[in-house]
Amino acid sequence: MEFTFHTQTPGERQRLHHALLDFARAKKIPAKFLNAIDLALEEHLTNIISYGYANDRDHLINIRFSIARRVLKIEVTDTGKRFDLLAHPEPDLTVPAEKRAIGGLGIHMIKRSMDRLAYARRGRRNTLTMFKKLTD
Amino acid sequence: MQIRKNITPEEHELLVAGRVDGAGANQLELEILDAIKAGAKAVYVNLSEATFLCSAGIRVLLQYWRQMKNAQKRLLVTRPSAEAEAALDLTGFKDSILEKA
Repeated sequence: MEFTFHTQTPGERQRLHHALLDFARAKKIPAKFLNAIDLALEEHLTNIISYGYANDRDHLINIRFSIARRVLKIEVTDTGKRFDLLAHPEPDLTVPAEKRAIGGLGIHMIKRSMDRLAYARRGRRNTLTMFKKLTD
Repeated sequence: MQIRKNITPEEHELLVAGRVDGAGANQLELEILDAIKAGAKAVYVNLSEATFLCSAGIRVLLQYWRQMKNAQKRLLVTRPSAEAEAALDLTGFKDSILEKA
């Protein structure tokens, strides 16, 4: 399934969420995996939209879902600034909550929600590929 | 996302239903600020009907958890749904911000 996300169109996140639910239903993705997938996608889109672009024009983000051998693959391609979240340092979870930095939580949640991530910069495009095993 | 409120002079309970995504986090922040302005000594954010909790929502909870704690007051999450609890657990804030049974 492919989804084109318009950054300046109201209701796009809800439309994507429904598309994800439809895909999950059609492919019989167990419900217990859905929250992690939903979370990773939401956090990544938020990062792209919040930090990726130098202007408020409408930008397109392409999202492609596929499943092979019970592994879900989500490829998210955007034309924002280069951003390799794999190079982003992990927050130190041993620091008490009172003193811990509040930033960087979204990237941490993506990394912890998915089983594997791969990043590529091709020309002016970022592609983050996220993999989630759909078995225990 | 919808927020229902149970208010007593000193305690405000916010019952959050639906997706706490970026827009939901903004809405939650406004409600928490209202409770603080109204003089609440305790704010309880009931997440039993929250179907999703993203990092923006956690940032709001954490920010006001700290602010209330520094003011000798408290803000706590109560009865989180499985989805909300998983998100709090992922970020390591569950033990701090969750009301102890």
